Amino acid sequence: MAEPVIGIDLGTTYSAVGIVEAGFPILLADEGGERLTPSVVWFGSEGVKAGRAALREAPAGRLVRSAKRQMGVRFGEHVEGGLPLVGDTHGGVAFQTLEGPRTPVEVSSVLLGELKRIAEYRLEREVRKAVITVPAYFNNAQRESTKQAGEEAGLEVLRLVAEPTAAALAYGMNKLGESARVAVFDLGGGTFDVSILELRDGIFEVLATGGDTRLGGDDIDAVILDLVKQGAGMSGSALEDPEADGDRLIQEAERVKRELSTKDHVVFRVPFYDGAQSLEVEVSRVDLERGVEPLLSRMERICREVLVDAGMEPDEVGAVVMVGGSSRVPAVQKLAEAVFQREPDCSQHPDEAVALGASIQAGIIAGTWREVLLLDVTPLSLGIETLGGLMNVLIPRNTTIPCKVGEMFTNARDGQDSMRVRVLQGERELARDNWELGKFDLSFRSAPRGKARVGVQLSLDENGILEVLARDVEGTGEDVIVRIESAAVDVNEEAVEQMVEESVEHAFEDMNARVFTEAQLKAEELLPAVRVALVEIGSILSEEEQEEIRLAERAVEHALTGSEANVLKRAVERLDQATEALAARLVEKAIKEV
Amino acid sequence: MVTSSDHFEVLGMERKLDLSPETLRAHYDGRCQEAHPDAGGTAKGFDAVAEAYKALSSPARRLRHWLELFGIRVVEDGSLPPAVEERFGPVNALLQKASEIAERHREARSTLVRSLAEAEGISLQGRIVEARGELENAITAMVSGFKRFDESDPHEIREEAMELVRSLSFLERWEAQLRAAWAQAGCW
Repeated sequence: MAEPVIGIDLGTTYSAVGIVEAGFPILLADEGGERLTPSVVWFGSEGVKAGRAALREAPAGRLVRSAKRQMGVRFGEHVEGGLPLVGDTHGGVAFQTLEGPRTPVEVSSVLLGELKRIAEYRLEREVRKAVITVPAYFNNAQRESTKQAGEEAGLEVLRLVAEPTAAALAYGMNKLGESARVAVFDLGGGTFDVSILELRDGIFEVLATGGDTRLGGDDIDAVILDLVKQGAGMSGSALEDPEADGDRLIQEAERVKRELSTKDHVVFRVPFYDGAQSLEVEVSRVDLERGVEPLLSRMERICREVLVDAGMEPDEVGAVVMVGGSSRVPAVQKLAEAVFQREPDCSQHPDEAVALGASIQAGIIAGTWREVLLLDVTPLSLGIETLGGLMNVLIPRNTTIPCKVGEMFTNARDGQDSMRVRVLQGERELARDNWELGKFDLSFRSAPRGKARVGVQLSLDENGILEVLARDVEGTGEDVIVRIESAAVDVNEEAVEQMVEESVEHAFEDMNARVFTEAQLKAEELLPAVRVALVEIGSILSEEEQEEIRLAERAVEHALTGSEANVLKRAVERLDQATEALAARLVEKAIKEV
Repeated sequence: MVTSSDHFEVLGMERKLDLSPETLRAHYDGRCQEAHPDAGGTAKGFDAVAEAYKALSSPARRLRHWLELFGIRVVEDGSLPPAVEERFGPVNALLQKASEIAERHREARSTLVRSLAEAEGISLQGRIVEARGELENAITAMVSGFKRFDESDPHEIREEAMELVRSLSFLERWEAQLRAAWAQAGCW
């Protein structure tokens, strides 16, 4: 029998593990018969506990929760919550535990180790290979961190697969003969993703994906806690009291959220939450729905953008598959129904579909599941910074992966021996508005300007992870794998979300900036050239021609001090025209002198 | 980068310009089942398949590639037929209008002004859909000439074909821009 490959859903609040066995995907249960493992870890002096054991044994307030939210996040850009966070040695964040700081990767690796253990317990054999799911909207740094966590847990990570894509596999596994376009609406504990896929003849092709890595069920729990605070007439910080048992408050908020899916009123009740006082507040569904409105409008916007990216009208979507625990909240379902104009499909188990899909993908790779092929996409555009601070998109978002793209670089000055290239991910036109994935230095042979050429190939592998290859075209012709100086922890999801939200809105402003920058580059090239040419052959021009050039020059210089793109562009065009004759004479002169 | 592979060959197809999206998709699916890394292929092999599919999906790129396969280099700059050129004005006006509405929406301080922008955006979306339809029709009309090209000697129709590459490139680009403008006019 071939070596087993397990599929893991590493969730923000719950995780699960499965495998394809006897031609069917199944989830593997722990000793207690539970298929879902809480994504919590306790670092105690006697040892480390994960999942249910951690819930049982950790003292109040010492659990590490929602580590996934901090994956690949830079210190200073993180969101507080749960255990206090500190900076780690690489600029990322770490959870402050009694046993010292623990990074999100370490915490995740403990969780993955626990899931590996459960699988080995059920399968009664060693497991060394896995497929792990990530939110579709995870960027390069977050994907790399997840892969690293798997490796630290002793698992070879054969593939990272997007969560909504995995859910689509679970949904579509019994519908292989059909052709359909399906939207997957995945509202997990900490992340939100929407993907539109086309299913045809065993091919599952992702057409477009979008999401928010900081929008999830946890945010709905937070709304409930706010309502409770208001209801109890407490000040804002009362529940953040260090004496308050945060774990119990969160658990109770989660219970209230679940019950409000079927009831109109539920009482939030935590006796002696800070050791002395008790909380008992009624929460109504109406209040909750009002409270989550801002969250819903963020989801709506993302859904609409994904539809546009897929080039589809809502009525072209054949099914809206709801997964993730919070997809069962009635207000969320109403939203999905309004956007896609059809009743959402709740046939999939909200907490298990992603793990089942991960298991199917594991089966595809292991060769135990042959009917299906998955074509996934990259969620974010990839590009490099160009001269002038613009983002030059090389791989647009929603490109099928794996994919690669080539770009030629040349030396801008005589004898220039190296060049720094910044790799960016994001949707904005100005380089600085996107995130820097990393940078690398290209070496040039010593050569006159424009003569040293290095070809660079950027590729995204089937996990959506970047690799850069450089080739000295004129010289050795050898390929060199370029090490990216990783800004691996430079991720600020809020900025991301904002970036994507604003990319459409700012198209006008960006266009202005682009026009200005381009005109500015042209002006900076033209002005010194005009002076040189005038000294050389200015005397053959008529007095009027020379006067016009001087006027045009002054107009450009003046426009450069302002910020009006069109003014600068027109001024540069005028100077361009005014110097046409000059340029022609220069050529004539050069020909005569040969 | 120089085109070295024959996209038609990569997808296991005849070198024919007259090609329905369904036929193209079916060949792509078939090749994916062999070339994708999960199906035992390599990233490199898959990349060639994906690139071929992308190139042949666009009529402009398909025609350009077809010409290149017959050794005809397509000149980038050249004149556009007036019938194509005169479409730019109306398209550009719609693009500008969409930007302007989106900006007004963003800058609005009152719900009333924001709603006015949204209403205007929605009506603009209708006009954008119409304009896209016209561009699509123009593209379809041009593509209907592909059948004749398939039956001709490529060198004899080269000038006509090159002009068509340019026309199609512009029409496809404007169509894509209108699609983006449609989203922008939605004021999301």
